[in-house]
Amino acid sequence: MPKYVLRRLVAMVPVLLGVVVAVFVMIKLAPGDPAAALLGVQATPAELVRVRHAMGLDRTWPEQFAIWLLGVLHGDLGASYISKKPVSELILARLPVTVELAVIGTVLAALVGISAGVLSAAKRYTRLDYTVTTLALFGVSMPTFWFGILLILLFSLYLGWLPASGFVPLARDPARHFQTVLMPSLALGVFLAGSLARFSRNSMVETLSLGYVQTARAKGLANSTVLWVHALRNSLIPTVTVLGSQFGALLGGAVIVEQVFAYPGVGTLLLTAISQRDYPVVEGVTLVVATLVVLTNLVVDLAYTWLDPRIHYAT
Amino acid sequence: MQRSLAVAEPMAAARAALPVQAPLRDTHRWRVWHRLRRHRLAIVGLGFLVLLVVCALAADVVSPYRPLEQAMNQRLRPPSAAHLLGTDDFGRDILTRILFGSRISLQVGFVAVGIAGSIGIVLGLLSGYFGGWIDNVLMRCMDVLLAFPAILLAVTIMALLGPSTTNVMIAIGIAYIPIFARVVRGTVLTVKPNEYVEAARAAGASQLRMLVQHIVPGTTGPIIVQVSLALAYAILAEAALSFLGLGTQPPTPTWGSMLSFGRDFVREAPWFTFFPGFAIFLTVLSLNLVGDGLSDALDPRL
Repeated sequence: MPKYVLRRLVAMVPVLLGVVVAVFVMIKLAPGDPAAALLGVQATPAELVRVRHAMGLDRTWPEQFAIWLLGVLHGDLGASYISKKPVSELILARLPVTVELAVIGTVLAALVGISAGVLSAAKRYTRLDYTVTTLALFGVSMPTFWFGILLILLFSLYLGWLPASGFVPLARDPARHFQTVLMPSLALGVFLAGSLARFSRNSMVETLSLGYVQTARAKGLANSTVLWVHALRNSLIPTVTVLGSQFGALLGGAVIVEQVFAYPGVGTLLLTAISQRDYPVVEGVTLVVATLVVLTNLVVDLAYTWLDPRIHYAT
Repeated sequence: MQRSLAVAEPMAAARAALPVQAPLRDTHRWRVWHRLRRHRLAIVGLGFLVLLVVCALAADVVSPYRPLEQAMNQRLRPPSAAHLLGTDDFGRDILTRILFGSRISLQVGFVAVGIAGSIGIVLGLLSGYFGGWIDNVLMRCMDVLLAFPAILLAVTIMALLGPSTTNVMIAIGIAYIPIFARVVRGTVLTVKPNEYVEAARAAGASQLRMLVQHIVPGTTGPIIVQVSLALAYAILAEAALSFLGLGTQPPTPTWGSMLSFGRDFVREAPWFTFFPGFAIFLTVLSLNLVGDGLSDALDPRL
């Protein structure tokens, strides 16, 4: 086990390095002169030269990359052109909001999606199965932002149960907090719930046809024991892959969902930064999210070893 | 080779028993089409897509109004005989704008998938066929691309390039390269160990000939399925970018931007935001249905 973890950690390094290089290239491709953006329109040429030198913009690209990378490793992502605050501070203030959204969305999607998929497989070709497969197909075909608006129409405007938008911090009012989190996480999770239901159904159907499941049945075990204890764990292996690979997509989807619900997360930070041409913030968000995705994938790979003990020997 | 011979015999026998069957159409393509046709939902999806393409091409003819035609005395009218899907805040006909908006969705979808597909397929072929360091380098590059969530990557690329329809195609195209590269690489790895590939190599076929004549045909099935799914993703992504105001700029109608503007009137005119979203939903649903049907019909295990 430790050897496998170590291998995975080592394998992560080139990917993270690639991510860092990609973001640096984005910084260099960003239109405009960072010094001019920082100083504003009244800057004199002398000031520009001074700031360009201070920012290291007169050095070669490899030098600039080395300096920038060193900063990144120390958590320094530069300063916002607009608010002049450190980008890392801006992101850290918003990140928990988005991560909470993504985690709740993932948990809801996993609970609903996987159990629906498993039930669907167990009751194959019944009305329940058709309902689940149809709903799952709708889930993966639904534009998140449209689903979000439909939720607002139903739960806020028609039924008046939930606030249409806004965000209440957990510390201020826990009950109101969960009211404001619910619809955005539902909207975010609907695609994942659909794809998990589709995936776990197929995977379960295959698992149920395997010999050891037949044996368990032949031994006289209860149907539910066979399903939830014997078959589920094995059929979960491919499903966990989907779950892991989709967590990143969920973080991306949060950018859109936050817009629909006027939610103060990283996505809103990113879009405001784009509209203000605040490139350091854009690049900082991209870097942080990509790093999060790489780390999640690592966790998913490690979760495999728990689900499928054979992986220990295989590597 | 062996397998298809073994299959051909009972099939020929079965056909002899059914005199109405059209003669000599036992090509692979025909069999796939035959299997797809039994997939009723896939055919419904295909039908909708064909209708959509026709409407997009003939939008000038089939639309009841002009897409930019304003009528301020007809603002936010609910669906009626004059305006089947109602009007927006400028009194423009929503049905007309959806029909014209389909052009952007389809154009962006096809071009973006074209970009992602052509680059991704070539990378996947090289990676899977040559293996070794080429495979390692290419796949690590794909891992890096995959670390950026597709929508986020597209949003960031749009931020750097600036909003325009062409840039949307490029941004989405780049974001979906890794999907094709991975699928094609995986398929090549399953095709490569086949005996007929070995035989071709033993017969002295050149690398290029091996790739084009013996490897590529084996990958077409998964690629076709992937294209239909990628089209669905690309259309969703285009709508998302337009929704965020980063895509094709107004007044050109796009589904995403219509939906976004309609949001401000969701209380008094829910149809304004509902129908563009419904159009996206139906289109993506159809593509998914076709994708499901194709993946069943092309499944080599059948």
